[in-house]
Amino acid sequence: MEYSFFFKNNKNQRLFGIFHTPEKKLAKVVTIIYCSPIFEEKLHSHRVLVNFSRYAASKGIHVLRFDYYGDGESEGLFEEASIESRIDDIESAVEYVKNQVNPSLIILLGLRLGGTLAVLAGESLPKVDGIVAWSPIIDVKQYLYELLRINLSYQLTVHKKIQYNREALISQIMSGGSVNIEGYELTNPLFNEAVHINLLTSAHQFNQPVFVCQINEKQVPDKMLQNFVDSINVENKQFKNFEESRFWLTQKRIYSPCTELFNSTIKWILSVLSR
Amino acid sequence: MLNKEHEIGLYNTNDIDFSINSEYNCLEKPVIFVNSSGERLFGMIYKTQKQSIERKVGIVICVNSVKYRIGSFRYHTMIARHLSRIGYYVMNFDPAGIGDSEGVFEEKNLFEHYCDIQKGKFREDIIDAANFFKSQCKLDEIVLLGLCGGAISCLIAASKQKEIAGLILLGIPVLLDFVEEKKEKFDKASTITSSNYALSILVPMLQKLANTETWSKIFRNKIQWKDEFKVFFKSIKVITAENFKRLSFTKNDKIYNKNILSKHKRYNILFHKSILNYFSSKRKVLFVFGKLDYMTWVFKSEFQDKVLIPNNPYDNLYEIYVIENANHIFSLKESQVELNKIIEKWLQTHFAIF
Repeated sequence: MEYSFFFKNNKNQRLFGIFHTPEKKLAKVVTIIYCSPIFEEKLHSHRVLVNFSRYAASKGIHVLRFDYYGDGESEGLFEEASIESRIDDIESAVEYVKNQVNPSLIILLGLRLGGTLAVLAGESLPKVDGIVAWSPIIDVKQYLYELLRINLSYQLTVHKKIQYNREALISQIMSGGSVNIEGYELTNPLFNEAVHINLLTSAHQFNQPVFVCQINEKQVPDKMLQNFVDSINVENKQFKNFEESRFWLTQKRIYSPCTELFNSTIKWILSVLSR
Repeated sequence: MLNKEHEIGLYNTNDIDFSINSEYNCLEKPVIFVNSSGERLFGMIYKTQKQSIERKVGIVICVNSVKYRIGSFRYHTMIARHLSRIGYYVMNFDPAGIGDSEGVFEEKNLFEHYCDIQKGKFREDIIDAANFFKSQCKLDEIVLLGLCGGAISCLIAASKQKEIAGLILLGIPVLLDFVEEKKEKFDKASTITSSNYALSILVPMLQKLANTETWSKIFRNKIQWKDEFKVFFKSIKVITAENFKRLSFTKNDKIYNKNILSKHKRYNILFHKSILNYFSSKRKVLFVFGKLDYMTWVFKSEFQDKVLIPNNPYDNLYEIYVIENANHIFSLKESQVELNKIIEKWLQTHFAIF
């Protein structure tokens, strides 16, 4: 069963969500809260996550997918949201799920920047029992700097030259303006908070198991991801490399079934439940 | 157990109340309806709260290709809220296999999916969505809105369904992405059909050729020089042919011939038939393009300059706008602002609600 609805976050803003509930429940109630990526990665990956949620529900697991404030069908504008507001929204989603089904186990599952947010939110929320991060972004500053290239390319197309280089674009953001990235207005709240996030260099205090998945077409391990996992000081941690298409990008071939990724994630979650 | 107020069930989403969006003065509600193949499709209805409207006009927004109902940079959500603020009813939805709808989307190459869509894959789902929306909100008229693959899908649907009163087509493609019989796929050179577009490609190319770094890349095999030469020579050919035609143009050539069909090897005949069929029932259409979008120039050379010539019989049925500095998806904020103004003005002229 799938329930679609609007719920209020901690700031009384309207967020949109879809809750997948299993027909055959497990002995204990397990709920995954999905933390989506942002920008166009959210759109490209949407259907894969719908498929995953339906698959998880068929295995007896509840899944809540929701849109952050300023994204999807939630209230607000993209340029008004920040890293902090998204982490608050994740916390609100946890509260919502606690009130609705009072699960025995709450797992945060995030993709890309959503994976980064799941890590940041998860380690500060005692109600979260496990974190799954699918290709999380370790160095968010590097990620945003790469995104700025999209704006530079657009300038070349329109003006046949770069009028504002990267430094000028950053200066524009920091002085209260915005920079257009594929239709999204990148503004100060998000940029200023995001550039300071580096999962490798910041200290972490995990109280719950962590499963980090690298998703790539080639079986070349990502050293940054591996180093991040090595730095996590919990006993129950796992890193696995999946040879799947990076479905959050425009793909030549769609849709990727991601069978191994789905199976391994569910298996890991159920192993956490059984401890 | 779920809290009772949220105990809706998969097929009973229609029982929940509308959620109030106070900023846009509209009510929003997720809906599920069944298409003609028995698949459950997901949508979102935006119900205007504007008072004393005399006519209830609904706009159904179709997805562009494989992205789900919110659209690139959630444009569909934002335009829906904007239009409902000014008095229109709007619905976004996911066709089967996309977004939150039921159904399977076959694992294929993207350009093959584009081709399926350009040949009418979403037609029946759009018609089902329009019928559902009309009955749910008791609407007087329905207009379809789509970008790119959504635009061609809306046109194909409206050609079949005479109850569709209007069309808003953004960046509509008139070529197929893939010609199955010839096993040819999309190549840039074949999209160069007008001197405007040819020039926009040629000038930067020539500028790059004056740069030694370009030549260094060519010699180091870092540039796909075969493809680039193909584009270069095609551009020259198109510009030459168009100028030659202009020089030998006489007044007698301005005789309207509605059977003029593009000879482009990938011209979408279904587009041609659908638009002429649509025009034959005297219904209105708004075309909007971005100046930086090659599809603008292909539309112009393969259809507009052949069929929509001065004094054609459809003159009062269509409007065409090209937005400066706008790309295919109108990603710049300025482009979106202008696009919204054009759409708003067109609706208020032809589908006034007061």
